[in-house]
Amino acid sequence: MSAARAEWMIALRRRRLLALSEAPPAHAAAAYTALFVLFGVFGSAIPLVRDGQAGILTRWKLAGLAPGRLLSERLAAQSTLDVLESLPAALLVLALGSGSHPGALRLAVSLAFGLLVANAVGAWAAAAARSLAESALFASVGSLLLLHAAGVFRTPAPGSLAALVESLSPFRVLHETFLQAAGGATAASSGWGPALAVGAGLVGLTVLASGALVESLARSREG
Amino acid sequence: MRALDLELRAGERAAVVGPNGSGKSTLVRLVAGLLRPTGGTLRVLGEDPSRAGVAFRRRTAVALDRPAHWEVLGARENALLLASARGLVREDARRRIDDLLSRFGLTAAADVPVGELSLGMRRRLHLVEALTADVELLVLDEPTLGLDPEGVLALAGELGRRAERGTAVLLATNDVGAVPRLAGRVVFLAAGRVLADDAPAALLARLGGRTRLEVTLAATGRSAAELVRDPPPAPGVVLRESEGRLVAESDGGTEPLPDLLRALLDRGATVQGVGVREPDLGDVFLELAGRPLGSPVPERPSGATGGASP
Repeated sequence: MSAARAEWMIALRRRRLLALSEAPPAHAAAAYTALFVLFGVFGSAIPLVRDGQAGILTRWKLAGLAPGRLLSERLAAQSTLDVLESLPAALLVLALGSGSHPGALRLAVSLAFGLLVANAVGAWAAAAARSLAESALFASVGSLLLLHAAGVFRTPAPGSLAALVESLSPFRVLHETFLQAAGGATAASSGWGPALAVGAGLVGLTVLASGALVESLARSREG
Repeated sequence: MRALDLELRAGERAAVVGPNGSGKSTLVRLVAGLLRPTGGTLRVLGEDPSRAGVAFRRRTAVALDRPAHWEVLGARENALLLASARGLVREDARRRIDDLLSRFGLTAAADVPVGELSLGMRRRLHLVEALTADVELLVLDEPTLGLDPEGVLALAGELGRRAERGTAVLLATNDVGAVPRLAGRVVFLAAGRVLADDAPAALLARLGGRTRLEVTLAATGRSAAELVRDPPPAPGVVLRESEGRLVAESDGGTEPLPDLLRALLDRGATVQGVGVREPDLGDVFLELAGRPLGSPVPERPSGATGGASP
């Protein structure tokens, strides 16, 4: 038990119990971003598949709730709940972070936007899946690819195609906020406009495609 | 489903009756727009239900055979959520729901989480939800499943009131005992085809009012099948084998019973029991399909034709 004791003693001496607080900023920011994004994607995909299988989505359809309204209401409500659930943890990261303070409001807005996009990604993963296990797989693979595109796992060379993709990736907003909080240097970029536009477009596309998505989700019950 | 031609008028209550696999639930899903016909035309309230929008949904109410609820929410909350999706004003919806919960004996369970309700109570709640809105077409799949006699009576009363107000009711069931209470028209379905489509009384009249004398024979005696092949043991009595029992249909009520029993004993049969039963819709189905209503239909490749329009 001495190794475990040593770990606890060091953590207490540093008065830093928050996981990854001593990790390099890039690693800490990657872990935080992946954690919050996966929380949002899974929280959207799995209940959708479960509701499809239970017949709840069919009931909404038969009751006359338009698929667009159903999905947009769910996205809004789930994202808000996700923010309320995860904001205290995100603020703790901010408070204990060693970097420059990006500000609680900016963190809250970045988190809300990231979780809204994550919920939209979850809806696509759920609609493509035929089971809960498959939805978890699609949610993981899809969100990790999007996180990679956002430069979460590596810093793309300036002027490269990867840098262009990064500038358009919606999860970049959340990643750069955490990176700043952790003390890392954010890439000199053209601002968040393109990433915010792509994220908003993805959410809009999800609502536009809601008829097909809900049909696919409800079919898991109808066989 | 094959060659199905069904038209339902406003205020009409039709029960589609048939064995498991006969196509009842397929018909319900077609009418609800959850399945698309592979051939033929289907019009419900003048629309193709599989492409219908919100306006169509608000003109119809469908209760599928398996109830789906938010289990952590109360019975009333579940019903209110669906009512709000239908665009009902909350106060009006609440009044209607409370009235229906009372009619279906669920007042005490109104605030109980659905996950804690029995299957029968969930079934009743499912019906309450389907009955909350005033619609032009009400479609119920196996509505009496899990219902006690009180629940069936409540449902029959409610369907009668809806029909008086012009709602067309289509229900799918194999509970033939409840059908005369619930519907004024019976459509017998077997292997996706309509065998008969008439009022319950007219269908029963096809049996000519024949009383069924059911005789159970001991295993040691001659088999029912052998006895059926013999000449009739008494005038006006027709013998038939049904599920290992000998069934005698009599035009003359119970009058031929003594002669029948004497003849059976003379033929070496050992009689274990005797029952007298008036014919029901199950017997009509047996007459039409040549097999009992409960027997499953062999699976066929799915397809759908036909029309249904109130």
